[in-house]
Amino acid sequence: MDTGADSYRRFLDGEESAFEDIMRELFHGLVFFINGFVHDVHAAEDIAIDTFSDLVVHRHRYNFKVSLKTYLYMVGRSRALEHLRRRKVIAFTALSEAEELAEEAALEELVLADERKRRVNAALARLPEDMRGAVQLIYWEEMTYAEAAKVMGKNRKQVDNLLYRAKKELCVLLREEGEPLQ
Amino acid sequence: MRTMEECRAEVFRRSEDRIRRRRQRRKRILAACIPLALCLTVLAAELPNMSAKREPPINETSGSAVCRIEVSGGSGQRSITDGQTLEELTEMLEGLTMSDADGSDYAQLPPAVDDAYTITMVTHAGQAAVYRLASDRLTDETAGKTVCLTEKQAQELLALLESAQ
Repeated sequence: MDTGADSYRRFLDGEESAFEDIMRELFHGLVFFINGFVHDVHAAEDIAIDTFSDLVVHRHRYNFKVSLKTYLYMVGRSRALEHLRRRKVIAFTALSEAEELAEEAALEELVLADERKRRVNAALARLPEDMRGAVQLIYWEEMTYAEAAKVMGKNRKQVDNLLYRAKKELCVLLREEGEPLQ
Repeated sequence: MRTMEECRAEVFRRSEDRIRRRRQRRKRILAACIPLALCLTVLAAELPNMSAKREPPINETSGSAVCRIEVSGGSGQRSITDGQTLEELTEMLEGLTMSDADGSDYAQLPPAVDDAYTITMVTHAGQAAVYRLASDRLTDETAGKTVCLTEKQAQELLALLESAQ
């Protein structure tokens, strides 16, 4: 049962508080996912805010054919890639490295309560973007293969292959750190 | 990082901003389109009138319209090109040779020996109609028809031929 879609229906019917439920459920996970692309917590937060803003401005674009989470992650990914494209052209001044790391750690703690997950996530950061995205969506966000494929703009078989390769790489990385992957 | 409440407030603030900008953009597009639509409507209404005005009068471009009348006899030879005179003469000659009013006689008479005036009507297409006026007889050489004119008709025709330049 897609509680996100139900909450969104209530929001469309005029219940403003339903939007808070959606944000509470999905916001931090989306920021974490976007951060995997942009590697900048503040930019990831901005992009996530814009993504949620899309839900308010373009109320009839979401057609309930996929889960609200899948839809939000699709839009978020698209916006993240657009941000990366623009970032190549526009120079920007980053926060100090320490501040960024602290922010990222705080976000990780929010999303990955499990200490073990955080260790695996640290290893994930060394994987290519696609593999990392696939693992995050399937294991952290508990999406189905079909939903993850929709978010990533790939087919189910491709997602399957990405996961297989990601697991192989993670095994090697975690073994190096003394953390076997089960 | 912002708190959840701050993020939520930011979502709604940005949404309102985007909705407001979208409305302004639509108003601007409408503001540009309405005068354009009005101009097109006016142009569409006026275009037929404009093309009608531009079209020249029929008797100037029609192939069968008379563009010149050559008159020989009387005070000499001359060529009439004045539009109004051409119209009057053409109307008179055609009317006299066709009308059976005012005592004109449509009897097929032999042409008079003394040709007082030879009137040649030339059209834009290069066709010519020749008339001969001798005292009270007007002969349409092209149709092979001779009519007898009344004194008044003959005098009117003579006056027009003499006064025309």
